[in-house]
Amino acid sequence: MTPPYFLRPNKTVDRFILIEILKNLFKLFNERSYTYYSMAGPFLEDAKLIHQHFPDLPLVSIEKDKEEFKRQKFHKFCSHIKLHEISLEDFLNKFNPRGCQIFWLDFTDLKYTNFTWFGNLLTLVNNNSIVRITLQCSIDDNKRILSLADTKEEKEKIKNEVKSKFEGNYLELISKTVTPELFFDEKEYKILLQEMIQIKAQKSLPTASNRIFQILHSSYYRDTTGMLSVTGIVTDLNNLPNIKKQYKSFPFSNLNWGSPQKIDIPVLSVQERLQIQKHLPSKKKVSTRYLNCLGYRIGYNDTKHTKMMELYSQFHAYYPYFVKVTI
Amino acid sequence: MANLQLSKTQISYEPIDASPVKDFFVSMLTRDITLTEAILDLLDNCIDGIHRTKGRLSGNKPYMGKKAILEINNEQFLIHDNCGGIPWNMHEYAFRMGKSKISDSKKTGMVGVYGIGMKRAIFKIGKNCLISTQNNSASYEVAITPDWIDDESNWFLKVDKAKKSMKEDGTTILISSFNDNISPLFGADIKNFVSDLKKEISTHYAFIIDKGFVIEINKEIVEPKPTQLVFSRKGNRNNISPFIYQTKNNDVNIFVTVGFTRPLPSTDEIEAEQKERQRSTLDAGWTVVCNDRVVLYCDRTIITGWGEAGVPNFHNQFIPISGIVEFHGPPEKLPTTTTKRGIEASSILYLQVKNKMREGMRLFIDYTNKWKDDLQTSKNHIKTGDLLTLENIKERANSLNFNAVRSGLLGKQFKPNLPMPINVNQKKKSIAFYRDVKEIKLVSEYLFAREDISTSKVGEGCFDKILKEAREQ
Repeated sequence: MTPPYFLRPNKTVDRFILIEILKNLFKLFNERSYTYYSMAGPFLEDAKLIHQHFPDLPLVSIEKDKEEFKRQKFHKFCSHIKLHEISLEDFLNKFNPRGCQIFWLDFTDLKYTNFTWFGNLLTLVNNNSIVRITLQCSIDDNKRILSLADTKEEKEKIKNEVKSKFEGNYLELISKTVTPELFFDEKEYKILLQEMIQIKAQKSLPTASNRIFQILHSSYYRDTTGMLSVTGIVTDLNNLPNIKKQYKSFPFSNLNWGSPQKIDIPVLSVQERLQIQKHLPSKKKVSTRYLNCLGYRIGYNDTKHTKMMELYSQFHAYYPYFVKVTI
Repeated sequence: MANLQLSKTQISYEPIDASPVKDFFVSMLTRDITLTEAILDLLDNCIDGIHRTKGRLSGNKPYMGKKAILEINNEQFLIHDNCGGIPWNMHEYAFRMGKSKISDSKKTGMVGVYGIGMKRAIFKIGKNCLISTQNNSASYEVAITPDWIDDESNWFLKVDKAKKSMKEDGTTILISSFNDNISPLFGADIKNFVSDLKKEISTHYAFIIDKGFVIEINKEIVEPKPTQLVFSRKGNRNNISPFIYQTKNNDVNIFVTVGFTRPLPSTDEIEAEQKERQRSTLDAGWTVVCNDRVVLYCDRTIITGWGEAGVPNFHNQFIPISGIVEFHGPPEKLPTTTTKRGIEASSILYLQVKNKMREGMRLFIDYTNKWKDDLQTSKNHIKTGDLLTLENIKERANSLNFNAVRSGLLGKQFKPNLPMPINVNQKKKSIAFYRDVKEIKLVSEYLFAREDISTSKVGEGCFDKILKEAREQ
């Protein structure tokens, strides 16, 4: 059984990064002109977090499943969230927004139509709108199929089939020459998917149209399945320098389609966290004292331990506390 | 009134200046093609160079060792090849706007006819260009500058001896000062542009790349995406082989083949195709090749015979059907449009070939209709074959028994004896019905312990379960 959304620590961090992106956004543009749209899921988790930080922001949730929609109604936490029982496709077909939008396309899978909807959305939102797309970014299935092969020839055949199928589905979104091995290499695969999002954005908003999708942040995380999240702003070219200036000093910014930031926070007990917390925040790169503060390793070797402690230092402010409550 | 009569009598009818205007070539003619097509024109010139220097090409890999390297960035566009260069005695054809006489193009294998491709491509991209070329002892450079473009009185281009010699004979074209609409494509939108360009090259140059030619864009080699058809190793019944037609007409060699690229789609796959584009439709349809260049890729319209003369419109049921038509001959006799990226649909030659395309296509349409209710058996037929490229099909065709064609363009043809079900209508019928998605998932979970089994499998599962119970009664 996969953990529910609200118990996924890495996704929670990713949500907090969106909050930080919005805090920067509202330094440039008036918060009152924005509306937040998302596929918020049965517990409306992301909408709750947005509401907690920006209580005046109007919220809209899109849900096509009747039963999930009923659950959303049950979990409705404030009066100014509008819940729509509608498919994303139908919603976008009718979408004619005023003001600015913050739209999170929070997909759980990877399909060609996800890119299509993303591209459509970019053309529909108004300037200075934030669009975030989250896609499944997992090579697990490929590895599982490969593990069933006995001989080297069979493995090669499977690798080529995986590549060929992927290229067939997404050929127009691929710019670089891909090797069969790429589909079994998580690091390369996430870069490919991000590049496909970039290409879709360029197709939908070519520079000649004077509006572009400027990437602000991208992250890769895995709670159960690998996910890639890309956040950007739709803007006209005149406004671009101001936006870049605003986000230049943002610690999680990715303004040039660089490699997605990995969110992989270590699993720690509350006691451990309190101990580590004494040494944070740290302006410098993590110190030896910080690394040794527990007196033992949390990774299986020193390198892994250092990496995990670094990641904790980076994201500690957004690390969720999950508490068991008996009602 | 009096003034008007006066002015009429004063007109002196002098000869009219009908000389061309450079702006026509620079701004107007370039509107006929896209940037991608312009770059394909430059690649066509590379291939024409090989044909010019090597003469008639033979063997499986006649282009081996030949390459075109493209470097594209926000400052310059560069294409460099080792395809023989432009001989000095051809400089007029290469650099003059248009071509006065048909001469060199009579060579089989080339596609240049109008003498406009390279110039139009350069003007499409930018205003500053340096063409350096080396052919045997000739090694020279020609610059096209913004000043030259603006000067209507000067139609001569200055030629200089090349500053550097090349390792192999070839041509380098370096373009800068991009046109306003080109700059973003080579700058902020370059990922998208390169993706589109690669896709076009991988399909339109699939046959040439397959024959050894290398095309590199920004240090990455473009892989070919050739259409491959199922061809049985045995020629007996219950196996799948493509339809093949061969002839020669007015110096043009013609090869037509059509067959299956994959097994027939299930109803679920057809439905998925309608909802979301899948890979299977990508290589369905007809590809037309002229002198190794693809001029029409996977077409599924009336241009290639779909939806006319007894052939139904293309439908997702026909996604396994794919065909290739190859024309080889003097470029002016080939049925291509001026842009070389389309078919001249009214060409007498092409219309006659299209009759054969439809004839072959009908065999496979008939097969899909007859076997759509027994996909498993059909899958077994198709599985027994190899997937072959055009060149491999030609090779294997040598061992086939062809029949003479006594009408139309004459020639010879191989009609495969595709397996047909025996009284299929009496033996099998399909059952189709609609149910709520949640109920289907529930039944799927009940029968297979998973809710994501395809709807057709769930339906079959239900039927088989009840059938078993009915038999046990």
